[in-house]
Amino acid sequence: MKIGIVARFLAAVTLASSLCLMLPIAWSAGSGDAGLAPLALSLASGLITSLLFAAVGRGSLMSEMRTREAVCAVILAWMTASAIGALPYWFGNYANSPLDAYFEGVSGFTTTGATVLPRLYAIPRSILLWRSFTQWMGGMGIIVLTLAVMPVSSAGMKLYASEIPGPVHEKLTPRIQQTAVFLWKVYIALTAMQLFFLKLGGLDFFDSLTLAFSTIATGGFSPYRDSVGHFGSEYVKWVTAVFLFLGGANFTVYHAVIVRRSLRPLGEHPEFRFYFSLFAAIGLLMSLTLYAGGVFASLGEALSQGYFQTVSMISTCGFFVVDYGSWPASARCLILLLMLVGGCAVSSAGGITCIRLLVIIKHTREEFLRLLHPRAVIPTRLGNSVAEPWVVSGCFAFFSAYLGIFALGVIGASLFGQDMITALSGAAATLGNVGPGFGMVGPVDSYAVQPAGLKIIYIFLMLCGRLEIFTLLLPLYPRFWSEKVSL
Amino acid sequence: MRIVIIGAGEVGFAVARNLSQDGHDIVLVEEDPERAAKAENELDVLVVRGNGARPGVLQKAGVEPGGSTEMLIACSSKDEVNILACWIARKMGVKSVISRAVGLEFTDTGAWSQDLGIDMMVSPERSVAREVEALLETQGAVHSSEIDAVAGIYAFKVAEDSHACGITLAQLRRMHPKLVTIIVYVQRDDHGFIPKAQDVLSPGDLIYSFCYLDQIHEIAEIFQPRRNIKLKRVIIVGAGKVGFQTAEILQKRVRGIDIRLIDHDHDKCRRIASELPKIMVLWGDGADEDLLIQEGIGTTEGFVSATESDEVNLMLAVLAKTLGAHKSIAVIRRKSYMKLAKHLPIDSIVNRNEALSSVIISAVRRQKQANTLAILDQIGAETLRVNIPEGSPAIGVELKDLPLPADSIIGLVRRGKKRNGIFIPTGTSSLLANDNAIIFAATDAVDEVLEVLGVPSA
Repeated sequence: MKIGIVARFLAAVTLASSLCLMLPIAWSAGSGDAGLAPLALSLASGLITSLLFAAVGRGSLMSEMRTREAVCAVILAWMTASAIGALPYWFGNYANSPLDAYFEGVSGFTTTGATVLPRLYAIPRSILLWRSFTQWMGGMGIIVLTLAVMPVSSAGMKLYASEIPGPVHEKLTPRIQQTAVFLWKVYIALTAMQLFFLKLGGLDFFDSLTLAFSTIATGGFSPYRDSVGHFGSEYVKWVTAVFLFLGGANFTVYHAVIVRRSLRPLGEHPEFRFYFSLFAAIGLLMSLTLYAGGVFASLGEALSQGYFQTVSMISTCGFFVVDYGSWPASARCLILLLMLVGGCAVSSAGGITCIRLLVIIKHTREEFLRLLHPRAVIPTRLGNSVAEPWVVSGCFAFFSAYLGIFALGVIGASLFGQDMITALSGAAATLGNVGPGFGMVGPVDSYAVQPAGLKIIYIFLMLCGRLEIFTLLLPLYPRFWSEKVSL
Repeated sequence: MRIVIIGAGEVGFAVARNLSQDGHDIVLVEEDPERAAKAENELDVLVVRGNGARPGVLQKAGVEPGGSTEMLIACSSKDEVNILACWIARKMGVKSVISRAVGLEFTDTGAWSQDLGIDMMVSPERSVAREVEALLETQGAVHSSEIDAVAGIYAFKVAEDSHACGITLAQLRRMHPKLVTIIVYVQRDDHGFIPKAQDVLSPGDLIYSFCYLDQIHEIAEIFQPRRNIKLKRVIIVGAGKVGFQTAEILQKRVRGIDIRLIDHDHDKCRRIASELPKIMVLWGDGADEDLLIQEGIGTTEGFVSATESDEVNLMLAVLAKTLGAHKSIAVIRRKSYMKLAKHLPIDSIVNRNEALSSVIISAVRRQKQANTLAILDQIGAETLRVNIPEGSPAIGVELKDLPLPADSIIGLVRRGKKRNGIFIPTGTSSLLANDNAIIFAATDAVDEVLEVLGVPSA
């Protein structure tokens, strides 16, 4: 393995994420708030780090990047980017400790939205803008962003695959760079649309921008403790819900819609259909339990809140309008399960993803047919195509790895003295990049009170969820290091 | 006419033999030395060795500017070779080109053949599959061949309990005035004849009748009252082209049908399972009794064996019949095995070679005024559609006075375009110019029939 290649890639990622600090710096300079000094300091540190990486990686050729280098590059890129994301909180003393600042940074880039910052109201707007902006960058992926601006030849697909969620990675275009550019274009277009609609609804520019960033990224950070409920507006809630749904849907569908100039691909895409059906069915079930449980007096209110929370959870965002922590157990169970399922592949959502669940459900259902007809050859169909056997087994492997990591997270949390609800939901919410859970980590609570050791576990879970487990765990596999490490 | 045929495989060979017997000069292009040698030894044709898609080879075969070749028939099993050969032939000024199409999308509509500049693209496998499908759907039928989209010729064995036994054909027709059908041939024991109105059918007779596809079930009801049951499940062994197509056509034409396709090649099974989602594909040996029983052979309405081997297919069809399949069909290649039909407990034997080549042969004969609709090799007869030309000596003459050969009969006449313009002629009917007559005749009597009707033959 060649460290130089990794360093060279890290230099690019660090440079890109540091330059993103220009946005909050510009905001701070414009509005004259107190965030300027920590942000500028962060930018300087980021640029220096980038230069250091560049110095180490000087003379290395990106075209020599192999799987091992790509995996290391991706993991370290995420850890470095999160660190840069954390710097302003630390320099500005907005977090209680460097660990808390890093937790917030990881929570931002992985689009989790679990927060440890106390006194949000006391933090300058430029810092809060940065906080939402990190989610926006993490949503489509810093590596995909880097790929979009920097040609990396053959290694591109490996890098791309490690960051874009989903069991199979089809290129939409002949070149991976074009695909990366396309995804970012759609992403930016969706953000701009939401920004427009929010402004139209009377929100000020800061609120619109932070909300749009966190919505499309399905992140969940909000400058306000009471999240979307802060605005007290049905309009804002519904605009947010629509864009949450879009952010959690498979972006390749948008490609088909744009290329074919028709909405038909939405109905034909098996994952999109499953995602929509799941959303519609669980939303209805949740609304009815809320109504039956007497949480909301009118059925309309129950439907409205039930569906909003469903889309917020299935897209692994974690926004809320009312404190769902006090909802009846039936509704909370549904929320917990939605956290595990998550959104679509090739989206900004996390979780097991709909496509994998769909493959697993179909394959399991075919098992009945196999019992009746032992010699039958039954391919797992997805729409008009067939999932190859290795894709199916990959889905099962991911499913079990996901549940395994989830179990470890639950055990870890319980060893740190958390109650069952907190332990279960905390692990599900961080691994699924949702953010808020139940109990001690409920929507109106903060992760700040968690013990330091548990925070480290949660940081690991958030990265695991964002990088789809296998990428992050690969270096723990002994054979990964069988190759000589050199510069 | 000088005809160049590309490919001496089963299709090309049969086409070459038939057209050579028709009196055409045939040049056969074949790359494989074994096949080329076989054709040289067994057929009276010129064999050119080489790849039929290469201009140099085609030139040797006489496809060149100003050459005497009038037609090129590409019969190889590779579409790219066929299409390229046709294209070269066109460039060289060959008047008509016909291509076999293996890929089905080429014959789904006429658009491809038009775009490729090929006069006709035919998919022989499809017609075999159609025949098998027709035999399955009409459970009582022993043979079937489609004449066009609305009419066909079907063979039925007359059952013991058929009410057609013991009465004359004239009486039978009076009993069913609505049915537009005519019995054109009866095979009794070892001899066959064209029946007259006063002939009486007896159980065990094999009758060939023209009929409309939408009346086929009512006709089957007459001759095979007990066999006329609805098709619910079909088991097909062999997922080659014929098996695949039969499954596909059945799935399209019969609502809610349960099709089970068995093949021993796992990759093939996987491929077909992904292409035909509604069909259950089973990986296994078609002769595995347990598998057949497990998949319900005892209650299945239809069984088709279409593997690569004729012998296996015949044995499988017998096995399936023994295990309880209601109708068992074997698809074979060797013509000599057709003779076994009488001796084996199989309901139908379909000769795919015959069906394969008859499509192409009839396409060649379509060049004439008379249009061969179906070749019934097993009884040495054909069905032709003839357009009565202006000035034909047959116009206005009562049919009983026409000097038609004894082994021929005018089955149906279509006058005008309308459906009700179709009638079954009697001895006192006479033909008009532009009538469309469907004629059933022994193969060696065809030319004589055409002469009597004043149709110019090529």
